[in-house]
Amino acid sequence: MVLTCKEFARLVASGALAELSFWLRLEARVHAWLCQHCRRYQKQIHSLGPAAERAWASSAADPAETDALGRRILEELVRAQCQAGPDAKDASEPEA
Amino acid sequence: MDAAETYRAELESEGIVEKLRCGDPEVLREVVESYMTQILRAAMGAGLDRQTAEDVTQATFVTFIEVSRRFEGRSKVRTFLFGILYKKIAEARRAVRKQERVDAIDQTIESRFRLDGSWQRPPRPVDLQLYDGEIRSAIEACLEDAPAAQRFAFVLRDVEGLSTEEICKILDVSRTNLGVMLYRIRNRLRECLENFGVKGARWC
Repeated sequence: MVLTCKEFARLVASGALAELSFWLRLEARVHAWLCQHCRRYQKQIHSLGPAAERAWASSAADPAETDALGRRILEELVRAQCQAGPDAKDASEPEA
Repeated sequence: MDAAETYRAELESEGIVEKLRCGDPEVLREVVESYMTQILRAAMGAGLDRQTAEDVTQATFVTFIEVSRRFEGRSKVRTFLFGILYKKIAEARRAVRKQERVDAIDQTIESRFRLDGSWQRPPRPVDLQLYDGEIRSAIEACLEDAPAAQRFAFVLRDVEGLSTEEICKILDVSRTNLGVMLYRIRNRLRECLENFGVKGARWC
């Protein structure tokens, strides 16, 4: 079977490429090597994650805000724990 | 293996569950410190605004502690946390359907190809070397209407780099379903950024 561009694109974007047999993977590589459109497509798909990571890194990583959130969560957790009591184990435990 | 990694490996060990059950405050702090940033980032990546993302992150940890008594160490702490987060995001965004039968992106992709499977409209070069702020708003705009489950799949796979196996557990979907979700969201984003980013400058 000769891989079409459409099929190649599906394999790349769904992540199914990695699960193919050796020979099919090789065929996909050869396809990308011969087809500049598919090569570009693949490169663009692979760069989406890094692009999003860069975009979000700047907004999520304010250390002061993050620290404050961490403290808030811990306080909340400790409170939740105290309410439940440290020994409030599940009765259904031994079934495992 | 660096210190953080060693530490994380320790966290994944079985001992952690026992300690959590006993309410060891030190362990609580460790869990929060190890995963909070990742959880928060994923929540925002899934489309929640900062405030909602913080609330959801907090709620995720609270639920985690509540249910950790039933946690038998069958999955990793991280898988467990992301699974809870996913449900919280679904609640926050209300109607989150896992899989739409049809998705507008499917048609867009179809239109890219000829009947014989070759490119009808090949991908255009895109300049993604935008300023941080610019690319953030571009990505946000592109993902705004995307189904939350797809967004979350994208964040877990392409940003956080989790294995497909772990993501299938978190989202409770089959491998095939995850493939369809990733296929749609990646194409959606690529199509949209192509429209945004074509400025003549070559990116690839």
